[in-house]
Amino acid sequence: MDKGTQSKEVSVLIEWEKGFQLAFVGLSGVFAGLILLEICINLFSRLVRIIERGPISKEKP
Amino acid sequence: MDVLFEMIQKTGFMQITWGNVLMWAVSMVFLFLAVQKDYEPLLLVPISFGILLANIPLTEFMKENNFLWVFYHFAIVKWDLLPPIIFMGVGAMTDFGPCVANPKTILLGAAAQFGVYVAFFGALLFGFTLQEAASIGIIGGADGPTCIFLTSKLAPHLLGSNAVAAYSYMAMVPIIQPPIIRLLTSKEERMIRMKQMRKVSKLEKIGFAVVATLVVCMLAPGAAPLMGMFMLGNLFRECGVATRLSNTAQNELINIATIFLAVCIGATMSAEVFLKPQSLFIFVLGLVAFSFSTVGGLLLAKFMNLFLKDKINPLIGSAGVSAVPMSARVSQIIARADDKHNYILMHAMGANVAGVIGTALSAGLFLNMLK
Repeated sequence: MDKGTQSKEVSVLIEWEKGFQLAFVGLSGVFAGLILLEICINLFSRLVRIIERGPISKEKP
Repeated sequence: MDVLFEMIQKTGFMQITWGNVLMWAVSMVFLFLAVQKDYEPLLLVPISFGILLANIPLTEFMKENNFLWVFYHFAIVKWDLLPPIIFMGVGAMTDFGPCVANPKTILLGAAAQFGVYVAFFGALLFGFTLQEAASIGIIGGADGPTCIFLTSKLAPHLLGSNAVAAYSYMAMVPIIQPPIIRLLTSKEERMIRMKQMRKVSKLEKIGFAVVATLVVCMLAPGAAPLMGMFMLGNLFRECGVATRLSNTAQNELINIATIFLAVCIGATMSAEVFLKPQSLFIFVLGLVAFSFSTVGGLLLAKFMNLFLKDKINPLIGSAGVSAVPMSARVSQIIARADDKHNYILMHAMGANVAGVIGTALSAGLFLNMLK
């Protein structure tokens, strides 16, 4: 196998390796981000509802 | 006679090629789909005309410093002005109430990004570079401005093909999604009724805009122009004291930006650029991306049901594909086909708008890693 073919194969492998890393980081990043967003929104909503509920009114379903 | 002959030589009639004629036919197909079939007409009408203009010989619309090149180069490629402006208008038209009322549906917007990465690998397999593969993969996010934003930064030479693929498949969601949904869900699952959503206060919606901006922009700073403008538009809508700004963002401003964005995108599709095998690969990969995004959303919804006491209808998982509001409507139509009193539209809208955030996040992460 000549050096030109070998280096082309190596660069393809490097590209795929980087691709897998990108995909793993990207997909887990999206999930992590939206889970974090969900947690923050949950907490914020609960806080707002506690503030808005006050001592008398009941929360409607 | 020499002068007359010379003048005739300088007309487009003498320079016309088969590529030009073929691209005119392509532009007429898109115009037909837009006008007759109502396929994303606000985008496809100017795109199709841009294709027509760019393929008239000797007009050189996209030559450096010429008319459309100026808009394309500065407003799209160099300064990225138009996609965030359009996103601001989209934000002003979006109601995040269903998302806030049931934050679990935000996760379905993440699952619907699965197709992005499937198409990403598919593009690598076809020999595209990492940057090109990322800009092709984001078609699966089913979000036109995000696709254009990312492609203009990573692979501007694919802008025309990617944008047309994205908008075409967004319009075909009612054709693409139902067979996949019926294959992956049972009738019992489709008949699951979800609890009526609680009312969401104005303060919660305002808070959502601020919190979402902070979380997403800090995690993926590359997404900040899109996400920031998206939530600014939403803030105009929800704060109740900026009605004029909200109206402008969702009407005049978005319309002006859309006209120039779409015409410029169409004008990038000259025969030399578009009539290549890679354009066909992009269209195939776009379909793969959409399909797997639908699969991802459905499967996550079914997985969540293993742990939830109040089950979610898995149909809202497919609404995580952010073709707003079409994929949410598809979920509703299929639900009512099995149970005509099952109203899941608002739940599906929660997943639908979460998908927009998910796609912006995906694009931002790609930019962080590849730019």
